[in-house]
Amino acid sequence: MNGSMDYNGNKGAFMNITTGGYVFMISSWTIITVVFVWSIIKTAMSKLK
Amino acid sequence: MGERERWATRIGLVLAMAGNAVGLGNFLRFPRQAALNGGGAFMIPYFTALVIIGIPLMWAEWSMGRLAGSYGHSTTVGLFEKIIKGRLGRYIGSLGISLPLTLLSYYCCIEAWTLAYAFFSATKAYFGITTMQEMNGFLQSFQGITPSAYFSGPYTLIVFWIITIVLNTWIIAHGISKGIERLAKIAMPLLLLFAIILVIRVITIGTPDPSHPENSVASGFAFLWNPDFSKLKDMKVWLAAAGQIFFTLSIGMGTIQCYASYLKRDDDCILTGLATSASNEFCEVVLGGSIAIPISVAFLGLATTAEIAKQGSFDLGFVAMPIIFQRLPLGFLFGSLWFLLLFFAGITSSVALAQPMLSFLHENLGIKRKKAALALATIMFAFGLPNILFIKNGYLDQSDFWIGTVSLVAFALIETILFAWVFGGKNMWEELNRGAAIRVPRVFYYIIRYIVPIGLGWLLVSWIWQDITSSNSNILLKGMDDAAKFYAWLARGAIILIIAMGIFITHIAQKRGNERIHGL
Repeated sequence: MNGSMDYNGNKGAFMNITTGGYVFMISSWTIITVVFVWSIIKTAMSKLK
Repeated sequence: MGERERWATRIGLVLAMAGNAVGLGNFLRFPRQAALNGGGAFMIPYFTALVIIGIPLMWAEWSMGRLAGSYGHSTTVGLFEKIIKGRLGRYIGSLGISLPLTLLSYYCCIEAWTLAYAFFSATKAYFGITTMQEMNGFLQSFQGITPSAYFSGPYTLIVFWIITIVLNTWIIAHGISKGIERLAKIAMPLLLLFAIILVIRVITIGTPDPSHPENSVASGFAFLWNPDFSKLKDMKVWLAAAGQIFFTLSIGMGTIQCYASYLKRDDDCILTGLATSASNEFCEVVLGGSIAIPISVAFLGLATTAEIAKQGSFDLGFVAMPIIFQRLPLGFLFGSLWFLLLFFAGITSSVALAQPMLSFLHENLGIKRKKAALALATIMFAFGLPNILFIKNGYLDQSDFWIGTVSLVAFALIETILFAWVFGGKNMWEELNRGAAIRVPRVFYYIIRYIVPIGLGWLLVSWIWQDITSSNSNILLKGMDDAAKFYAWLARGAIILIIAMGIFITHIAQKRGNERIHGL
């Protein structure tokens, strides 16, 4: 089915990840990981007053 | 009473807050919601809701908690009383101690499932059950819904549930820094480690059955991430995304305010609030999205996974996953890691749910922490037991609808209006920026004052409308026989009783406070 979301119960259906799928997956992972790592490092470096 | 407790370290606080936010939903609810609501395109409403509802509300709750702490209070009882300046504020604020307790009463039951299944995985108790139907029968007999050769009733569940209550009680009895912070410092790194091990295992599976090349991990990621932009025209998808953000961050529960109340007046709320949200999102989108759905597609195929996803999150976690683990080398080990991961996600959330009431009993009624923890254990037992015994009658569903869905959004709406409007926009903005380690863009002033209340109101009205127009409405008790209606009312009665209990003890605390002031 080459990337179609229409699985329609076809047990033998293929689904390849599309360019759009890669874009959403990689960009979501990148944004979240960068903010996560940056905020944790910055927080860990500061102490409670 | 001596000086209030404090968090020992900032990273301990962030881990505890992240532990509060990271729950079963990160690993079970998110991938299912994304797969069913447009795949990668779901991330558009998801990130929109994160930026305009999730993070602003997270910052607001952190700031409210720190403000409450500056008044010497740990809960919304004292905070709302200060904001509204009167008895009404105190009673509305009591929802911030009673709602999490109600949620805790059934959350512990679900947490006990994860602990039990970790044990079943380690002992291979479900090994040999290879069909979805049989595995569903195993789960249902364990829950006490349908007796079978595996379990004659919910007795095993009750044993694990009691163990769960004892563990929770033991942790909260040790206080903030020695109990909750210590748990977070152990459980959260372990949770991350288990999740990373499972993700590596999943992505190295490839195509487990060469005779079915279509069943692969790559297909699983395609199922989850390939965007279907036509779904974005459907308002339900936007509603699902906003709901997911709301639940995943554990906002509207009164727990964040309680944890933040143990900060000092000038401690930062903005960077730590952002770090909490980012930790939760990392666990949800990066890790949670890379385990259950991809492995399910690799072993069970697209059609079956789609069917399971439609059935519900628990079918994915407790029916599909145990079947899959049996097909993996060292499956008992990966099964144990999966359910322990869920258990850690659960217990770091449940101790947070217990804390507002415990803090109130300890600090406002002067009950010693250990005695207060025992009192909470008794309440957890008394109000949790019907969720186990009457699960087949829809008791737990009814509790979850009123508390886990309606009340949390309603409470978040109330607190936002109080903070952004009654407390005042200028005061709110000053409070947010006090001691901030990073600058808050001015646009968030308008977002918190206008967008967040509108967004929460829209969520609340839409969910109520969705429910009353559905064929099995929880509000109108549609599609239920007389017995189910009886148990629905029983669940509602229990909720009302806990809320009334919250109002009563705030009244007692106030009376005692007045007596102390007047030297009676």
